[in-house]
Amino acid sequence: MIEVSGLRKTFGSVVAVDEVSFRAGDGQITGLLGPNGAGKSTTLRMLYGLMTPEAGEVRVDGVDGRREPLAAQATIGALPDTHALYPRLSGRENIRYFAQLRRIPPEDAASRTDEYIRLLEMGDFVDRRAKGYSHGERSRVLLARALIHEPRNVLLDEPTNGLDVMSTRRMRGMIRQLRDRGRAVLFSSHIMQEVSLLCDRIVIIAAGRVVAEGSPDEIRRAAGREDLEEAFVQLTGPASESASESASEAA
Amino acid sequence: MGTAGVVFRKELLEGIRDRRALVAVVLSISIFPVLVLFMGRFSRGVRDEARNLTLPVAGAERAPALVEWLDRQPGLAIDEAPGDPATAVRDRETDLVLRIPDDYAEQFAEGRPAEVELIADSSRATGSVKMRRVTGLLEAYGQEVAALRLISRGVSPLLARPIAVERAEVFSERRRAVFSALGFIPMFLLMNAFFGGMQISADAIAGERERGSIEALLINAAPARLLVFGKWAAASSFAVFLTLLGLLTCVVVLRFLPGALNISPTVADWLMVALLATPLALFCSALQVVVATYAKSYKEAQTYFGYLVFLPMLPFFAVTFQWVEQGSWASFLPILGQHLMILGVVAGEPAAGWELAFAGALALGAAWGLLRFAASLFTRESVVFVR
Repeated sequence: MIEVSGLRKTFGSVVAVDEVSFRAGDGQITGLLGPNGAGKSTTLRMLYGLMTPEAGEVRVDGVDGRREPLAAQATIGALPDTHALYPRLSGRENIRYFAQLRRIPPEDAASRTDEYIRLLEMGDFVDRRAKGYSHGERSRVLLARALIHEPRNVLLDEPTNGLDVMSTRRMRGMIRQLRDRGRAVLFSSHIMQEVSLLCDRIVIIAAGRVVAEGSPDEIRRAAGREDLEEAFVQLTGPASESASESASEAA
Repeated sequence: MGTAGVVFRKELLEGIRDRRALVAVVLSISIFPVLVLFMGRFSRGVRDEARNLTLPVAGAERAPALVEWLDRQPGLAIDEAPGDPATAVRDRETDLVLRIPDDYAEQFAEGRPAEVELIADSSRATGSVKMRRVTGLLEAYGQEVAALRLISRGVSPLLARPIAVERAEVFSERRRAVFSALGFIPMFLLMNAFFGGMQISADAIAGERERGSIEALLINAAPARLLVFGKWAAASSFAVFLTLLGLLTCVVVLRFLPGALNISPTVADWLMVALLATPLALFCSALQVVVATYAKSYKEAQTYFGYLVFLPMLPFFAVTFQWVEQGSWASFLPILGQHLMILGVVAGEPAAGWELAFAGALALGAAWGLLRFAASLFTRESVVFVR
C-alpha cells in the first residue's frame, strides 16, 4: 500500500507538484491521470525514492520513504519512463542483473524469469542482445525486470506509451493479474480510456495538484458529467492550462 | 555475491563485448614495440652515418697536408665538394662541406690561426652528429700541429697544457639508458593505466546516464556507493590488465630486441614495476569515474578524458625538464610518483621500499576519496535526471 500526503516539489520557481495526497491500496489498480507535464512522473519519482520531496510524506507499506528510501524500494517494483535496457546484454541477462541486485536466489530468479518469458511471450528474442529490440520487445523485458522480485507495490510510469495494440493488451493483462494477486498497482497515464478501463480508483492531477480522486463513478458524479472524458476535461480544463504548461517546461 | 560484485561482473561482461575493448588491447601491446623499433633504427642509422662519413672538401688543394691527414682517419673518406657548398647543404644534397679559403696556406705558414669553414645544418640529426665528429678531428689535427711547432722551437708541448681535464662520469650506463627507449616505459605504462579503464567508465557511468538506465538501476534498493564501486572495479580491473599486458610487452621487446639496448632489468625489477603500476591504474580509473559522473553522455565523457590525457603526459615533461627531484614531496603524488619510481627501477636506482609503499598508499587513498565523492554525486537528482 502506498500513502502520499502533502507532497511538494519545485524546480527553481516552477512548482511541479503541490500538496499531492492520495492512497493506492492493495489489490487495487490506481490510475494517476493527468495531461502531459501535470507532475505525474515527478510524483512517481518521489515515491520510488529518486527525488526528494520538499514537503510531505511518502509511506510504502508503512515505511517512511524519505527516511528509509532503500527499505521502501525493497517493496517497490517500478517501471520508469526511460525505457532503457543494457544493449550488449541479452534480455535474459538484463533480467538476471536486476535479480542479482535484488539478491534473489539464482534458482528462484531463473524460474521466475522462465515464468515471465511464458507469460509475456518473450521466447523468440529473450536470448538475443537487447540492442536490436523493438519497442514492444523492450517493454516486455523491462516489465519482467521490474517485477522479478515480486514486489508488493508496483509503480508504472506511462507503461503503454508508444506500444502497439497487442503489446498494450498484454500490458493491461499483466496489470490486472498483479491486482488479482493482491498487489498495489499505481500507474500513470494521460489516456482517459485506458484509465477508465483498468482502474479501480483514479487520481486526477493537473498543474501539480490533485483535482479529483475516487472511483470512476465518483469522479463522474463529482464533475456532474456522464462521460468520463468530459469530466476529465472539465476538471483539468482551461483554468489550470497555463500552469500545467509551465510545469511541463520544467519537467 | 555482494552488490558490488554483481555490478562488477555485469560491467566487465558488457565491456568485453564492446568492440572498443579489442582495439584497446591491440593498442596497449603495440605502442611500445613500435616506439622502440623506430627509435632503435633511427639512432643506429645516425650513428652509422657518422661512423662512415664522406666529407666533401672545397679547395682541398690549398691544404694538402690537412686533407691527407683527414683521409687517413678510419671511417672517413674525402670527396669532391659540390660547386656551391652552402646551397648544397641547404638543399640536403649533402650533410656538411669543409671549405678551405684561399689564404689558408698563407695564414698557416705565418703561424696565424688558419681559418677553415665547416658548412652544416645542425637542425638535422645526422648533420649535427657529423659536424661534431669533423670538428673533433680538426681540433685534434690542430693540436698535433701545435705540438710539432712547439717542439721545433725547443718548447715542451706540455707547457701549453697547464690543466689536464679528466672526466669522471657518475652518470651510470643504466641511467643513460633511461634517456633512450627505457625512458618510454613509465609513460607507456601510464598510458595503458589511463586508457585501460576509459571505455568502461565512460560507458558504465556516462553511458548509463545517457540511456536513462540509471533511473531503473537506482531503484533496486542497492546502495549507490556499492554500484559505483562495482563499476570502478570493472573499469580498473581492465586498466590493470592492460597495464600488466603492456608491461609484459616491454619485457618481451627488451628480451628479444638485443642490440637496441645493452640493459635488461631483472625479474625482481619487473615485479617492482608491476607493483608500482597497479595502484596507478586503480587511481586513474577512479579519476575517470568522477569525471564520467559529470558527463551527460558517452561522447561528453570522452571529450573530458581527452583533456585528462594531459595528466599522464605531465610527469614525462616534469622528468625531462627536471621540475621534480626524487625524494621531494611532489615525487609521492599519484601518477608523478609512480612515473619517477618506475623510471628509477628500470634505471637500476630503485626507490626505498617505504617510498614505494607510501606512494602506492597515497594513490589508493586518493582513489578511495574520489570514489566516495563519485558515489555522493551518483544519486543527485541533476545526475539521475538528465532529460
